[in-house]
Amino acid sequence: MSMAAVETKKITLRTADNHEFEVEEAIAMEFSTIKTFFDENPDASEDTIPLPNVTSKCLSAIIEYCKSHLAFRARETSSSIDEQVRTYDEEFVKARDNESLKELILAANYLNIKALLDMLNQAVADRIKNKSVEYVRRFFGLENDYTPEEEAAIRAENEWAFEGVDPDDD
Amino acid sequence: MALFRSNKNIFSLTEDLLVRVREKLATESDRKSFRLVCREFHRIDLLTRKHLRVLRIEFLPSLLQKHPQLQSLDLSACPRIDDRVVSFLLTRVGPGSNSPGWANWTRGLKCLVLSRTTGLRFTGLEMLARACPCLKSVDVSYCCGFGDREAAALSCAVGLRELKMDKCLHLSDVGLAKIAVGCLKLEKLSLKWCMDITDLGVDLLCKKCLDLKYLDVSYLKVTNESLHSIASLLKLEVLGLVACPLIDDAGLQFIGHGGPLLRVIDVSRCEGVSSSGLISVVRGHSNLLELNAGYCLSELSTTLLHWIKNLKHLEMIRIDGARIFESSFPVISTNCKSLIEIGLSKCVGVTNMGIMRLVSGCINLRVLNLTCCHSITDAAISAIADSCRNLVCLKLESCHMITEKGLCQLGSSCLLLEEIDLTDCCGVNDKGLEYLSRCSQLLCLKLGLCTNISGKGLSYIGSNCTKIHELDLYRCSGIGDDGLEALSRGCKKLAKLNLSYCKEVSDRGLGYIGHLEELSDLEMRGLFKITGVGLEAVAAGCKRLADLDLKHCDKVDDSGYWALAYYSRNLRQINLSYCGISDIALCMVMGNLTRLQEAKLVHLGNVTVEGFELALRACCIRIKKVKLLAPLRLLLSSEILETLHARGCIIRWD
Repeated sequence: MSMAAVETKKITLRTADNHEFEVEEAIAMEFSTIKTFFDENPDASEDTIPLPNVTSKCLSAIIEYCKSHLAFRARETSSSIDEQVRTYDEEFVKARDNESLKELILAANYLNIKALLDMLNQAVADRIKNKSVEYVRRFFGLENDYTPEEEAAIRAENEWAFEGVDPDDD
Repeated sequence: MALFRSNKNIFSLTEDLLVRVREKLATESDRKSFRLVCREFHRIDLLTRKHLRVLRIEFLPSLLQKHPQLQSLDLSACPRIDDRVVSFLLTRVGPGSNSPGWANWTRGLKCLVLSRTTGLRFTGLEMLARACPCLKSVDVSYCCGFGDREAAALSCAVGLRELKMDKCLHLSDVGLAKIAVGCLKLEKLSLKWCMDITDLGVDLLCKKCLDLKYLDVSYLKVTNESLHSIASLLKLEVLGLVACPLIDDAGLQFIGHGGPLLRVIDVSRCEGVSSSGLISVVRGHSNLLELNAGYCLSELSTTLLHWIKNLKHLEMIRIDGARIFESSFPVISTNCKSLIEIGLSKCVGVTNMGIMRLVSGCINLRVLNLTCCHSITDAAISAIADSCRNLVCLKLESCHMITEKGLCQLGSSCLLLEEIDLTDCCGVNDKGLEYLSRCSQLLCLKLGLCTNISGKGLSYIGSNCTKIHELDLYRCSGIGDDGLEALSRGCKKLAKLNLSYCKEVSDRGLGYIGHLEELSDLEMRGLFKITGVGLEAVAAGCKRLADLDLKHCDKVDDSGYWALAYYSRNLRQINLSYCGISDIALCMVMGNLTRLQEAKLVHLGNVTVEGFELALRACCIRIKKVKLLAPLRLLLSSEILETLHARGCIIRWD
């Protein structure tokens, strides 16, 4: 009786800095960009996929993330699993500096990994919350391009003109 | 070193990514910082901002022009909204000076809040209704002058799903009929206090608006006939019947047999309702989620309890004012385990034993109201703390026997506690506050009439409860300036503070209050030591101050009022009764503060009739409510009284 060797299919990805990564098919399918590509070109699975917009540092982090999340999802849902997922996500972003966070967002956007992108966007929002305008500028690497009059007008609006309404405040 | 010429670098997030980050910003202060960053971010803020609550009319046209994507617009806080303004906004606000007739901002508008815009009339309303094709929700509550013509105007918004017309006092069956026939997709309707509505109007409504899910006819003089009509609404989920004097158990029988999807019912204060009416309702709706029968039951009878037992999904029950037997508690505890909120305010027969039995089963409780349950002691609080770890709100007003022991238990176990009412709990002392301060999630703390607390106790709150936004220290005679120092250092988010009759508070204390930048609501009646210096400190520091009550602060001199008129641009409501303000200062306050909409001006000993005349003229285009002494009615000019009336201003003659 011959047993067909069941090999987990691997996909090769080449990053911007010419490193090649072999990832399991399941993980590669987490990247919606790649999934769509394969759905449209089913016989391209042997080729190496070039990712000109993603560095190797980013890709390895993203692969780690997707691997861990796939493992979490394979287990039964429970509040303790949710807790572990939360802790994992917190740890994932905690050590990264602002630049690498932004790089990850751009990569996750390019690869179209919805959950990761959402989590990273929230992480950025958390980093700029309760901070001064100057801090936010430095975070995004931006200059103040307002004229003094424009800035004064916007400050006046912020102070006197309106209040935001949280949509859940009903 | 090259200066950035443009704001693009390799780590620039694209526009849609920035939009997503912006959408995750949860607080308004963060969003306002965001739009100050640079032009690109301002543009993104304009794109993502979907809800606006406009505070000043002078900004309204430019704001509307910049936000063409607006989904909801709230003009309830904006003074001087009237038909002329609406006409201007609809015809002149659009992209560029060659803008076509209709404005762009109305295109996507789904929700319009016009509550208290008393200057508006049916012409303006009709223009708005016709200009906004996507309009789904309108709130015109408290526009007391509104009636049938306004209802007819609103009925032009044929896609309307939600409508609030509470306190539109001139609305009658005729107007209601126009709405029923015009807005067939209506799902949510609130008509509280529209006293001219009768059974005829309700009947037509129920025949036409078959999609109604939410209906509130509280305080109306409708009879059981209306309940018969309402019972035919197959999609009804929420029914409000608070204080309806003419309905009784026979009417509730109709509800019992109909309204198959009913989940929430409020019959509090209905004098004609008793146990048998409630039994009909409960018997027919085993999926009931919320039942409010406060102040209508004399007692929670065993038969009613027998049927309540079957409500396996019941989340909220309020039986305020009823007599409850000790045997009832274990029954509720064993059968209604999904209860999240229990209201036993002013109930007779609530004992320690009863509460201990109750919480042993109802461990999911988040809200518990034991106001005036005088027999409750620390033993009950211990039991509550032990069983209900998810407790968020606990009301213990007038539970005189609570001491620091009970608060100790709460501080150890109920760490999610956000709101606690200890008004009139004379057993609360500084030690108790020390224990309570361990509940670091506290948002609202009521300590009115707690005479045994002092600045020491407040300092614990100040150090640990940094999220607190409401604090009531009404008549806490032990509180003085030192307590306020601790508060101002630690509780930076404090928005609402009541210091009335804390007689030891002086100008120094108010100086500390001036550091509370988020303070918007300050009640400080009867502070006999404070002068203009203190008031100036508050006015200059608390930029967000919107509500101020200075009744009986008779030592405050004009320098304080001048400061108020200069600094407190966000002031919306003021009580100056029994204050020593002069003619000129009153005129400055009423004239300069362009957001001021409500003022209580009785017993102003230093103000002459001319002073009132001038002050009222200075604010007549925007003032909405003013309280004056009755003799002034004959002394003020008929011109000013007519102008005020024409603008929809309500004058209360004391």
